[in-house]
Amino acid sequence: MAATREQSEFLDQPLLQRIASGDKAAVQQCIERYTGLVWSLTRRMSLNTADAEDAVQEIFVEIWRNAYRFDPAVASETTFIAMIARRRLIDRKRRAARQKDRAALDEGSAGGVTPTQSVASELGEEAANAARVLQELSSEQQRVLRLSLIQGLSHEKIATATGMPLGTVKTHARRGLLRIRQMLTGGARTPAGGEARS
Amino acid sequence: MNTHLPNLPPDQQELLNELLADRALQGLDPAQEAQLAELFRRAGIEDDDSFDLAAAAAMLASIGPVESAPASVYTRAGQAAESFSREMVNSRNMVGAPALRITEPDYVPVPPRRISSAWLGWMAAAACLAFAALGWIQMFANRQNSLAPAPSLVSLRDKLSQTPDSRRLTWKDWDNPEIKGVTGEVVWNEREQRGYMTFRGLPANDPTKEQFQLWIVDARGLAQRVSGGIFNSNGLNSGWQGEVRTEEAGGELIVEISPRIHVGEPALFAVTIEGPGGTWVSDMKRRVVAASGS
Repeated sequence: MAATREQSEFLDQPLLQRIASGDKAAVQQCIERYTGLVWSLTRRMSLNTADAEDAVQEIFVEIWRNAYRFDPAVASETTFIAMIARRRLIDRKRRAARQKDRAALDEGSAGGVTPTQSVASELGEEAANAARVLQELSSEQQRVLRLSLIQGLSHEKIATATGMPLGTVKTHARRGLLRIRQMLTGGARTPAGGEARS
Repeated sequence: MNTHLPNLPPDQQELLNELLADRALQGLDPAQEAQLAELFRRAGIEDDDSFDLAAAAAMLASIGPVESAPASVYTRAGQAAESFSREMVNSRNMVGAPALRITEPDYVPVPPRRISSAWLGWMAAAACLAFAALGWIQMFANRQNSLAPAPSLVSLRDKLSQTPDSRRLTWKDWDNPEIKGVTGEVVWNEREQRGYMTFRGLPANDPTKEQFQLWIVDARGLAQRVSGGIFNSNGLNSGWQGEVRTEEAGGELIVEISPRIHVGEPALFAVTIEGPGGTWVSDMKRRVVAASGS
């Protein structure tokens, strides 16, 4: 029953690479390892429990289908999975908004939690660094980003909720995100050729 | 830091960044999607995930502690996994993705070349260091494991059963079972989240056709169950990858209980017969034994 060296090396690969190469056991391990994270992200951005359970199912399928795109040199598996989850949740929110504009603006619940490095560090180096950058942003930028990232509100709804002009909301959101992106790239070349303008 | 995509003038680069930031934060409408696709085409790139990854990292930094998902979420994810496994089998004809391989564990697909692969060099170095550290830790752990003989399941079971807060439950035939007359017991410790099953009279199974699977059910009923492990009655190759230990001793089969998630106040332990590899979504029709806590 001893595994060969090749088998051991295969099992040491990131789960997403194993899934991309057709390893069904890695699909199961992915559920075991990441359901808590996906659930937590989903609960933050979903309207109710039933909606969240549907979303988790969709997200996992999306993760497995996109596993071949994962590149450990670019981001951690956790961040990649969170990215796929966010995209799916944003899609669902936009679909739901088209069907019925029911998002109640409740800024009190939109605050999420203050980013702390002790919690973020458990989710990887990128999250810990992002927490550091978030804390360096102005309070208005933090507020806008939290409403956008955690609550998934549109720029227009954030403007309504905060009383800020729409242009200011867009500037805060984009500049805040650019700061985080710049931190992730370590000040290196920006992929789309631009630069953080804050 | 004035590196530019040579195919795009500055105003279009700025527009590209704005669209990428907006996509990462709130998604795009169809017109904006089309605009972004056109800018990608002009820039000669496939896509750019860097803003989405930044948003994901920021969200991870803001969500607070990771919650435990309820059992029903694992069940739903398991259902999705079963569907996806069927999709994997048929994936050789998928367009736009490398063919998924089901059997030979020696092929790793090369991800498509992406514009974002070039940035984060420092992260690659950090990842290498982390992997090296993990590898060293694992090697050290393996070495320790190889030096110390693992205690027998009999001794582990007996020790756990003597722990004051452990529960000991007796197997009984479960509702017109497919295999009758199997006896034995379950020892379970909720605080330690581990336990052992003992079986007497459990006939040999053919692992290529079927395997036994333990289900742990909480007080809300059968719908709230988690897999406690998959095993063979000959003790060989049990578990998802052989990780569930089994042992034959004195006419008894002892199997460790290895739940995939935290189990709270189990009301019933039950064993079914499932296909090779077990299942996430048993119909619970092929029943063997059950041990009730009430």
